[in-house]
Amino acid sequence: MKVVNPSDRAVVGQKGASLSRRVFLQVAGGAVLALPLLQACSSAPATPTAPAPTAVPHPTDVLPTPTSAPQATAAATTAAAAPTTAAAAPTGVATQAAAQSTLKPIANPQPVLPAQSLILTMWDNKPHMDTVAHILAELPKVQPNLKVTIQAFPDAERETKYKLLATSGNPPDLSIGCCGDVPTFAELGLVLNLDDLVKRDNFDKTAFFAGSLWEGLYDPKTKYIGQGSLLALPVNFVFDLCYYNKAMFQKANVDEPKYDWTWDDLVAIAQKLTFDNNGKTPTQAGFDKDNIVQFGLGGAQWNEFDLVIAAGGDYVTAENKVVIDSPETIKGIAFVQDLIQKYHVLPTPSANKNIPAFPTGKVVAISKDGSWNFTIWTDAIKDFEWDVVPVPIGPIGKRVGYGGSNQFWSWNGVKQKDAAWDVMKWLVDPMMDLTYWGTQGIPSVKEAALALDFPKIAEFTPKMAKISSEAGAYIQSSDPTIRSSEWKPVLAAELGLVWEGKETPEDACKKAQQKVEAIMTRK
Amino acid sequence: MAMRTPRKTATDIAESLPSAERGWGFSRLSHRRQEVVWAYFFLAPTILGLFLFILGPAIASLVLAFVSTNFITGFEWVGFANFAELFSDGTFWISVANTVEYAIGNVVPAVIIGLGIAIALNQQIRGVSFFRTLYFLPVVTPIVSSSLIWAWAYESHFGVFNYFLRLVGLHPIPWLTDTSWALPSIIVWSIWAGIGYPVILFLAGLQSVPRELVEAAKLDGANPWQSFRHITFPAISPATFFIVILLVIGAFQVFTQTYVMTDGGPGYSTYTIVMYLYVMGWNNFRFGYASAVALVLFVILAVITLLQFTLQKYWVHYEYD
Repeated sequence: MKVVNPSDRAVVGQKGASLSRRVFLQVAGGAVLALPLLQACSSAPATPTAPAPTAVPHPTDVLPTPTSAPQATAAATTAAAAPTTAAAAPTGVATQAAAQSTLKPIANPQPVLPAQSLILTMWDNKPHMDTVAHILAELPKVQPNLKVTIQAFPDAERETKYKLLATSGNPPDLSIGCCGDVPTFAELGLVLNLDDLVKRDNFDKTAFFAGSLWEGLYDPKTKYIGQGSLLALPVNFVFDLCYYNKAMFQKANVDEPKYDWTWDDLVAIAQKLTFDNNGKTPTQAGFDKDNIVQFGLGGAQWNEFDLVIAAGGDYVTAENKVVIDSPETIKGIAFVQDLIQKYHVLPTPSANKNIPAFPTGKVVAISKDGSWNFTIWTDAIKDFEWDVVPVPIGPIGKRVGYGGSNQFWSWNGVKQKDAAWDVMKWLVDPMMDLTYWGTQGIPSVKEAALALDFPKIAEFTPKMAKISSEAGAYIQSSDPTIRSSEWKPVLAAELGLVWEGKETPEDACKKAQQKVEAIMTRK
Repeated sequence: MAMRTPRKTATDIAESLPSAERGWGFSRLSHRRQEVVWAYFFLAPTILGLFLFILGPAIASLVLAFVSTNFITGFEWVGFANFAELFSDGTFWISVANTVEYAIGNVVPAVIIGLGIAIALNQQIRGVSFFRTLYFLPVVTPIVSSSLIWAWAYESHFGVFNYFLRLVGLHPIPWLTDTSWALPSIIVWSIWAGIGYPVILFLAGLQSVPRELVEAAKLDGANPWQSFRHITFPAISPATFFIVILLVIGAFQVFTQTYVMTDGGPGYSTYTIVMYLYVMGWNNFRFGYASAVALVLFVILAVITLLQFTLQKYWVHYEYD
């Protein structure tokens, strides 16, 4: 995937696109932050514009509650009319506010289809499953005769299951995925090309942020993503950030991380928050690295990619060029190795997977995790105070982090193509995007992300709103290239020795470079 | 005395009848032929199963080893290219080395410990049935379940094993998170999980050792070790041979526990041949290449098993010897 410089995204990934992913989140978050200003300046809400992050006022402590729908203009006249009443909050996610906005549909209404049963496959993440279930519960508003059954798989098995189903001759009707699923399946000719359906229904692709749509585009000739045909529709945009346990900071008498913290700050803070069983920190004499009872850093999103791209590195570009052995990538890898082996503030990935998760309030002080957890944890964590901060600024002097969009797609050979397409459209409908997907990321439909309801629905604090508003400027996807499911485990295995301190980053990256190149160039 | 005419059976009568009177179809066949048909009828499920689920896939896999295919975009005959790539792939050789290490580390202790436990259980002690059940319990426990539980017990910072090590003042061990420790840790689990099987087989062997031979040796002044060395072990050598064959084959097919506990890591430290095969087939959809791996594994196992059969004459004693 492309990455290197987010500002290149629109050029490389989306030729001619008016908005890149970068702009997408700038606009979305900017609108969120503009709310106080808008309300202060006008008694009647106006359609929010898209101020640049620098023009965004500093967040106040409390987000204002919109008093009326700012974009309640084109009230839906079709069967796809947006619900006017509050939808039930998905189980397992934070109690969400009812969407007050009424957003217009982005495709022509379709005739009601005859009774059909469809299968939707997805990962077994409960909040996501609940979200999908609630959106599907409202499907009868547009297609009363369609019945959709969710089939969920453990995330680790998702790709294999998908491939098996897709090649069985009886593929699921539609699926959700991320992180290279679309190009990986598209290279095998498994993904349904949506271009004809888009044209037939006058489906407005421009309703989505271009940066969000990017991963659903694929060119079979070049095998590049971000260009060519539309194969998938994005549902939201998520990214990594750092959640920290304020109680642990207070107990250790450590200042909370500043918004513009750097790698050096990260090390210094994490060292003060890491303790062995004798209460010593890594900087104190006699620290026992084999008996660490609290880590400064950790989290479910343990991946080095954030730090690799923060150092200006990458693994594989959108043009399928392997750059694992670049000096920048090695620098990022070396820093992660130092966090584990030199500073002793981060567990190895294999050790990390069994460490209690952040919501338990144990073991990990700063947890790098996904933005989708913000709303969930707002509701779930009652025992301690916590806050968020964006990923730290790396040696290139600007913030870069990992993020991307989840995608819906259908499969070649699907027997109920029209029904699958209609369900897919409903799953990314602007109102559904705002009402449900908004709790787990930035909506990918511009109008939904700009709706005044969004921050309230997402239960964003002003700080989180600010982080979200700026994330679009520095987020890069996790190399969603072809064969990513093949080369990523190879890379992970090579780096495993680095994390243990048994191989240098240079040697491991050189080996990985050769192996990944062999995979990418194989016929 | 007049000779009695042998009583005719129903079959004889039926066969002596003109064909028109014997009826049609199946009933026109002779009794023997009917029996043959019935035999094939009852064998059919097994034969069909054999061809459909064992021989068929095995033959298909043999052919696929010379093909490049993902079952989606077609088939291409590549000759020995899969094998050439396989033998030049360092990861494959790592998986072979890990598998051999696992096999040796698993089979040798399993045989020795299994025999020891079986001998203990063969004594006239109280609660033998309980202990037999206890040792066999892990064998009937689903591998995935017990692997997951052990993975928690092995956890470096909060696992129960390291908890006890700390209690006695020892340093914790990175059981599954260090390249040096991960495979031995899995071997230990495998011995625990599979020990019941050799124990049961050894027990069966021990109970078939002629008691009179043991008693005769005792009368001749043999001590327990001499009795075991010269009477018991030769008598159970066929069972030992059988156990070793099974354990070696099983060890070379190790997969589930490494998949569940470490997913082949850290690094490639627990990457085994079958995991390599699985990843190539089901993760990368390179079914031709994965079939080549399967064929190589088959050859490795065939050679080892043949070697064992060849060497058995030096240490296995059958009753008729």
